[in-house]
Amino acid sequence: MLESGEMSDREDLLKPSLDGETGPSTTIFSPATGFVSGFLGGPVAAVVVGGVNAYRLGRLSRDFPIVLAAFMCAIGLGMLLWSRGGVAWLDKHFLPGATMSLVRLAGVVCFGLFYQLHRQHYRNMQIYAFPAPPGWGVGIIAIVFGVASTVAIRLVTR
Amino acid sequence: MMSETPDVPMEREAIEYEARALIDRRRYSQARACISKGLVLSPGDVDLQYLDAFIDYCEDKHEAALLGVVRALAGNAEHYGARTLHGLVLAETGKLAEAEAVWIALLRSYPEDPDCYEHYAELMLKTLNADKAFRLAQEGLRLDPSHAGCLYVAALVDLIRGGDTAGACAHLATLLREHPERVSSSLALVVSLSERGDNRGALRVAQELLRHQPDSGHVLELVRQLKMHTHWSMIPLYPMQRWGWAGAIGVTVLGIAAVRASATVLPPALSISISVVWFVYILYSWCWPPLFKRLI
Repeated sequence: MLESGEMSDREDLLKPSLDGETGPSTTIFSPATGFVSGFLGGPVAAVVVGGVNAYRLGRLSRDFPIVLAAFMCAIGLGMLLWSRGGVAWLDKHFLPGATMSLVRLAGVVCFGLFYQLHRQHYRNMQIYAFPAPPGWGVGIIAIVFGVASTVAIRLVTR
Repeated sequence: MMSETPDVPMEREAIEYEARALIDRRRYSQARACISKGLVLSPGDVDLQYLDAFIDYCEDKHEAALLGVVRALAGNAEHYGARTLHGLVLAETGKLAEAEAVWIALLRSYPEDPDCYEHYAELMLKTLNADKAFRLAQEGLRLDPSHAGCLYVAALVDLIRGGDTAGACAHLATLLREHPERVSSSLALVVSLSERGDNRGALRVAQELLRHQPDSGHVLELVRQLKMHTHWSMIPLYPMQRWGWAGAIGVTVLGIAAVRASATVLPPALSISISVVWFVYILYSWCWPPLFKRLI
């Protein structure tokens, strides 16, 4: 005889996990997509790819606070750089153009955050040798969105 | 006529027995001929229809297998083998939610069957639900602590979670101890060695596995991957090889910092040289591995 706790555990195990109507996404965009998007488009682009992956995994509601916090941090970093004299400080202490290096670094670090968040799924794909879906489309959209948000911040803070 | 009637079931049983023996030896065309003979004797025989569909499944003819198994289930909706095959074939044809429904129904019919837990756990692992896969494998292991399939899934989830403690390798250790002869044991060992950075050790095990399974595309791909990782031209990419994307992030951050710092501190000629070296290194790290993989 199973105890009531074991029964409820078993019932929980037998709850369907896959979406019957839309079909689940069994793979997410590769780390390379996130990395390149973050490097070329900055942190906002990395947030876009991370958010899309969270959606594909059906865990967007769980990851939403992190996606939102990362997005706000990315916008905050931009505001700090372009409205609070951050660019001038960087130009003075490093070289002109160091701002973009910082944006790229922030993009790569932001990708690292989402990589850590979805690490188990990436490793699952790697161990099973699942090919990731082509990431060109989402990568280009993320980069365009990332660059556009950087331009928008610069225009707003001018 | 009276004497022939009892002979028919005898012959049919002999045919089924022979077909199963041929399938075990992977003599599929002979097994299929045997089954066809049996189906002439008893056209609606569910066991033989199931075996016919099973051969299609083994030969990767998944659509034909699906048609066959649906036909068998129309004859007997409770046939255990046909239901199990239905779940496997649905997963192979990408009907994952339907496959899940089959495994849940099977687990409701056979709550003490660790094989069903194994198959459902594998489906969960294939759909990136590693936590649920682990719980299902644990449930299967509660029923049979040395079940090879459940141990394999649990060992893979341990590797996915990436723990480096002795406890994290407990399932792999049990799998290797209890089932050293199974292909899944060797596969799990290869993955484990590679994850720990011992690609040469993993390659030796994978090559041995390939000698025993020369027709396995999966093992061949594994050997190719490991050959690529252990080639001398990959030595400059050690950080990425060893620490994966964490290594790539580290190299990028350090590279950008070094290039910027050199531009402020060093003479322009030296600073430009550092920038060029870093750019070439990044280009090499992105282009050479996929190119080399095509070459081997």
